[in-house]
Amino acid sequence: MNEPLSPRIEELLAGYALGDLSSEEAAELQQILVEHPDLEIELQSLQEVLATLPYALPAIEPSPQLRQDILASLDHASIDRPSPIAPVTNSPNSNLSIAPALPLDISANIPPNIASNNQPLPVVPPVGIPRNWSRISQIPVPGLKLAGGIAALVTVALGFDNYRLRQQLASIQGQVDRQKDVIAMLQQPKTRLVSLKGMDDMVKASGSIVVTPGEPQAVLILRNLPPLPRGQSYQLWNIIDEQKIPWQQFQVNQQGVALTKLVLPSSYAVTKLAITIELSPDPPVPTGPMVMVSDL
Amino acid sequence: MEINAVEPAIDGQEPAIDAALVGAMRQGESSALGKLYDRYSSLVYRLALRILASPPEAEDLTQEIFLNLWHNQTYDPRRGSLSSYLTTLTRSRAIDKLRSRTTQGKFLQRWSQALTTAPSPPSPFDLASLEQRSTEIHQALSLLADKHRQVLELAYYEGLSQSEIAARLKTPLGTVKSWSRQGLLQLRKNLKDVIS
Repeated sequence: MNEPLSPRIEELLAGYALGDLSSEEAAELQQILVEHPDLEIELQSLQEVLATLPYALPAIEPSPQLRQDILASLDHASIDRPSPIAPVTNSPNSNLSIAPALPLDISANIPPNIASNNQPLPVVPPVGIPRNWSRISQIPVPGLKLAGGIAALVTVALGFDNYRLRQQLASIQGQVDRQKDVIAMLQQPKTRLVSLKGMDDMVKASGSIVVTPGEPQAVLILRNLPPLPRGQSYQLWNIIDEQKIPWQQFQVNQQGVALTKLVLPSSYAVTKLAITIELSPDPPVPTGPMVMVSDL
Repeated sequence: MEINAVEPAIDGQEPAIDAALVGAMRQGESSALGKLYDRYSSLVYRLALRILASPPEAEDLTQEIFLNLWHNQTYDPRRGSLSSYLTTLTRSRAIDKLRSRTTQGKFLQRWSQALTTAPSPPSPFDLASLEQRSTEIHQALSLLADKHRQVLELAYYEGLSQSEIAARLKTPLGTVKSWSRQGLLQLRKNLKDVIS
């Protein structure tokens, strides 16, 4: 469109995009579109403009659990839709390769997908499972009457389901306990947040450190950081008088989330922070790339 | 394809990343959906929450939208950006739910009448990050006259027809129509540098 559109045509196009044309206006626009099919690009652009409105809404995230739920439901539905490529699963050991820098670390990444189908079969039947669990599962079905065989299979299935449910419950309980801790900290009247933001190609990373004056602990909550290859860790630095003091190393889970408790020495004033990627488990000075800095 | 190769996102590659992720997702790769979720869940959720005003319902809808993206291959890149597809779908589903609460029947998806045009090159807007987009749109909206912005938001977020807006604002229907159309056209002008 080299010539500017007439105000009338613009108004009709806007009315179409807004869905408020009268029948006469719709007929008029239809006629115009027949004569000028290239106007459809204009229409599409007005619709794209309307579709941008939600970007202006306050930034807010759904709970981290939602992502897990969605991906878990795909695993369940994979029978309907076979995957030519094996889905990425959480590696239970991926976060254990680096020893924590401080001995009192009780950090934990958010537990892996609790609803996943990838849990290993129990080696030892846990308490509560019928003691003949393993025996029943080995009885050859043809040796039983049909009804008995079905009953045995149902027993096994129920037993395993119970096991799965208990595992899930324990996992959820662990998660709730950790979150209670964090919530308790957040409820302290003096709690303050030091925000961190991603740099360069990790610009999407964000998060905070929650600090309560007088408390010996802080909580680090970050998201959108990529999981690191084995042998590398994220290193948090506290910057005091322009000097970078190593604070703690941590990993993120497969969802790119870190939720880690930090021991907070009483001498620390937390104002300026940085995060680098390090190869050494205890680097005296930063050697790797800086990926996040505090907002202050 | 190697999904990790395109993550983290770098400005300027957004449409290519979306296309690569959609392609991988259609190959059955669930991690690609995870990446798309990371890119757009915030946008989908904030829109769902704005319309439904209920975090649990907004989360349910967010889940529905992403599962829909996985199961139904209805997104066509030739019809527009993935973000605009997702917001359009989210909006229409959310308003459907809003309407079903008040038993006013199914919302007519008047604004998403399919328009197939030739694929257009990515605009600077497509190339911007979520944060940049938010800033741009916020600024462009703030430049609108209050009445223009108000009628656009009433129509967009509450799904009100022009006559419903006219009744609510006690303003003649013709005036409301004129405000919303002028508002949309002005918004496009304000965004002309970022949306081609």
